[in-house]
Amino acid sequence: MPIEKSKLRKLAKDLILIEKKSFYGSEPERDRLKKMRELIDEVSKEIKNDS
Amino acid sequence: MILNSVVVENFRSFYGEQSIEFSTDKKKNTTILYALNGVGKTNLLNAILWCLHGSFSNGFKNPKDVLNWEAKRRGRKSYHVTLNFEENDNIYTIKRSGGETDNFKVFLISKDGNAEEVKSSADLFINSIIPKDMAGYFINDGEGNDLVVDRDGYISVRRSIRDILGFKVAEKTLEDLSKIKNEIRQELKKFDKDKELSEIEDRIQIFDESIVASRKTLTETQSSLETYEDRFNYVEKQLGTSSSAVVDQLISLRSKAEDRLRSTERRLVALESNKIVLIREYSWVAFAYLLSNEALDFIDESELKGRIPAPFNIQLVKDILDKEECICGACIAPESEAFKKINSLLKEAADPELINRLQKARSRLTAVKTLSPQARERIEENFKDVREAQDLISSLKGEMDEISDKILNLDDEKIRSLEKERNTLKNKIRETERSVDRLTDKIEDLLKRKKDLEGQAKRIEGLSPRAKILKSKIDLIEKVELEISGELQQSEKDVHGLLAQKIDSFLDKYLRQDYRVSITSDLKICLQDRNGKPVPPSGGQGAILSFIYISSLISIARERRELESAILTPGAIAPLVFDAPFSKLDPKYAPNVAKELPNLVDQLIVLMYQDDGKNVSETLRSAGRLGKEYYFCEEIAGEKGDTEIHTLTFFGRSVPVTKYDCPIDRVIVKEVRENA
Repeated sequence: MPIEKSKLRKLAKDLILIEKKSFYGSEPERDRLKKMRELIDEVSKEIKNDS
Repeated sequence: MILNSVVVENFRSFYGEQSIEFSTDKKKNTTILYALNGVGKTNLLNAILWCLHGSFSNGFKNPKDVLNWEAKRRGRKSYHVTLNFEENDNIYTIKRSGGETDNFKVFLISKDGNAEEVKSSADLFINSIIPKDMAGYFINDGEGNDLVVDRDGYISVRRSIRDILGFKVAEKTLEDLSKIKNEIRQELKKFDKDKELSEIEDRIQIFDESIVASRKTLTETQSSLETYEDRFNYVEKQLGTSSSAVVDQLISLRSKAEDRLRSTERRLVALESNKIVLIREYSWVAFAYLLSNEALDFIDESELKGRIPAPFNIQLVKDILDKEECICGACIAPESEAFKKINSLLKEAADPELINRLQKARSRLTAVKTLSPQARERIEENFKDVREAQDLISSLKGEMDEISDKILNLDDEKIRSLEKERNTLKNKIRETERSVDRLTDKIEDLLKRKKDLEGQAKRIEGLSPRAKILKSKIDLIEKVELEISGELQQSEKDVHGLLAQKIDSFLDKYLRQDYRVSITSDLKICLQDRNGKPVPPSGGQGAILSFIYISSLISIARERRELESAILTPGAIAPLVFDAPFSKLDPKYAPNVAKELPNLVDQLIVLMYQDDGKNVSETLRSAGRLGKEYYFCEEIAGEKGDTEIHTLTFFGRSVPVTKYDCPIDRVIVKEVRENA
């Protein structure tokens, strides 16, 4: 499934942000993987709809 | 970030409140804190680190036992540290408490002195000023400076560089993505009835792991190769500077033989590649040679002989028969005698199409016959050249072995030992080069096979809708992993040149001598003297490498403060808090380092025991860089007895730094004043 470079870049940035919030301590670590999974689901759906 | 002050309360050796105001003057940006060993230098450094990030340095012993012993005895349950600092023209206060009260608060201090709490993501805010993964390099307890040296004298600074480049969060993101991807692969097994896709995904996962492991081994192998080559060059140089005329002559002969060997080896490679070209160009000629002879004989001697060239054209005969009229105008009636005669000519009449095809065949076959001697000549010439090059290589190698044997038999122990080492290194280099080639091929093969599997996965039809969704998620994760890891690889590649440039610049500033630092592609560094000999980093002279390395890291972090990257954490501009930095440094380098360190950062805080004749304080003072000085005085409740009273000397006055018969055991902080 093709994905625009800008969308991929944004996904990378958002995933890093989730990790950053957990790594630098402002958010509980246990939520990190859950949030990442949700974001991947969301973007995956968006790509499917776009195509 | 500029630290204005720190207040420690009941933190380790500090009973009650002790405060220090650091120098914030731009020129006189250095504060020195003097303390005897074991009195509280590392405690103070850790108080600052803990206040910022809630963690301690590796050298901080018993981190769970932080509450001051006397405070505990008096029923106190908590310890506190308050840091006051400036950032972007704003003043902030961090208050952190530990023990029974576990608290962390950051306040913005307004101009009228009111404190407003930074409630939203205080941790993130502090980390945006000085990320915790970089803090240890700025607030440096010296533990990291006892660099781990491998057996070749190299020190890996890759982890530190990655920290300073802000890799940590991205690396953790990649770890998490890998976990999520593997979970999805497991889930895929439930929805992939034929198991075709999940089996392919399992195999791709194995390939992924193998590719990662092979790349790691390749990097390590390349690094070993670089260190062997580095050492080899040093040994060669040593042999080349021998004072013996015999050795010089042998080395010179070997050098010439090596030059010839290299050029012959290059020529052999070119000849071998030309051989392939020739075989491609002429192999058909060789195979077709006998065939062409027979075919030409067949064409010339066959039953077609006599028909070619025939005196009349088949088309003419057919036209006469069709029109039933001769070219002279006579009627040629069917079944007539003339008709039968003309009809019989069809057997011998020349067919222009057949003639054309035969002429083409003859022309190609003639070409084969003509090319054959030329092919033979060129291929034989190539084979001859290859043999000659191989013979010359073998003879040059023999010549070099003989030279080596002669050197090994010389009556000079040092030369013999260098030659032995040279031969060992040569073999190691050869073996390692082969390993690098093997690993490179292996990785290429793994990547190709993985790509094939991915292609197979794409071609699978009849997947359930759920399996399709899971597959698209795996693909998405792989793409984002590539996006992130690509940026990390590029940044690490780019920093190699920058690190070399920084190191050169600090070498010049600190040593002002002809030293060099060798850096491998996987960021291992080695201090070498002018002859390329590694300087043992454990020695006093080697301590300089720690300064060069830390200074380079801090300088890189500073330049990356404004980095705009979605993937990497930006660098930091923070004070350098250095614990006992000069203790292992050779006194002859100390003044240079002391003079240059304040230029590296906006604020320098040095914790040290005493000058020990290294002229650190005096150099800083005379350069106009020393802003404030404090000393830690240890108050002891016990009697003095025969114990020696330790003193420090400031402005010609001797000051005791241990006091006995005090009410309680504690460490107090006192400012050094010229007129006190």
